[in-house]
Amino acid sequence: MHEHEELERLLCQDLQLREPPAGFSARVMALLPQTLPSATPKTTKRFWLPALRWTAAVVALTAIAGGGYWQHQRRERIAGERARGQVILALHISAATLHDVLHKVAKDTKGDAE
Amino acid sequence: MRSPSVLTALGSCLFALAAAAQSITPPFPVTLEKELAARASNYTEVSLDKKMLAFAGNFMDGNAEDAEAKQLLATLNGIYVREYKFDTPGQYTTADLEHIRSQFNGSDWSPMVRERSKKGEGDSDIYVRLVDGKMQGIFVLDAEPNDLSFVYIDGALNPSELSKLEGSFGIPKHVAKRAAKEGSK
Repeated sequence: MHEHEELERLLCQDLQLREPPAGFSARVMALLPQTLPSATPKTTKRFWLPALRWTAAVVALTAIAGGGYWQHQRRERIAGERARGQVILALHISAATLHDVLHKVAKDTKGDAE
Repeated sequence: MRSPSVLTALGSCLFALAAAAQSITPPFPVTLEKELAARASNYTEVSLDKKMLAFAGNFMDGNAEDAEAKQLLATLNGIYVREYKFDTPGQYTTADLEHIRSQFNGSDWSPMVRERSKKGEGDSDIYVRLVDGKMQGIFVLDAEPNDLSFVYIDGALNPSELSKLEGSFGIPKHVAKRAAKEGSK
């Protein structure tokens, strides 16, 4: 029983709250790095990365859409120019055929009159 | 006048384009067209329905010639042109020509010019479709020993509109005046 009381007294003594030695806090603070890494750059990075991705995506989509539209316009213009060429050819042949027939008629009429 | 190779290429190209175009129904005998094309050394086939004429009209804003052509095209429902050139005579028969003419023997159509050569130099026909005294279509057939051309223009064709195009696009002068004169006979 006496031994137990002695052990308890020793434990209480050792676990008693003690004041740190003078200058302890100053020494601990001196060991720490002068500037702690700031959280700001990470936040900025986190903010700009998605924005850049979205901008790149929008630019790419705009370029694809613009390219598609330009290609469509180009194809349409080529088809239109072809159609215009066909019309001119058709008008030319029509008029030339009509001209030939009328020329023959005029020639025959003249021949008959003579 | 035109180099055969260019004409052949143009003919093939136009044929392909015409084949690709939808809802084109020229009133020409299709089987005969194929036979004539097979026998021809050069041929040009152009089929332009109202839709194609309107589409081409969108690209005719360049100059005064274009503007006049566009005005003329606006009144038309279609232009169908066939031109065959043969190396030797006798590549088509009188029956072939009759077959083509038979498409225009309906009550709407009136023969304006009908010329038959006894020497076998060729036949010529002009048929017009008159509705309420107005020309609503014209069919021209010009058959020569080595050439066969037929043209069908569907729509309100005004000779005065055609006359505006004379001298443009290779159209000979005085065609319209003479056509009008023949029509009034």
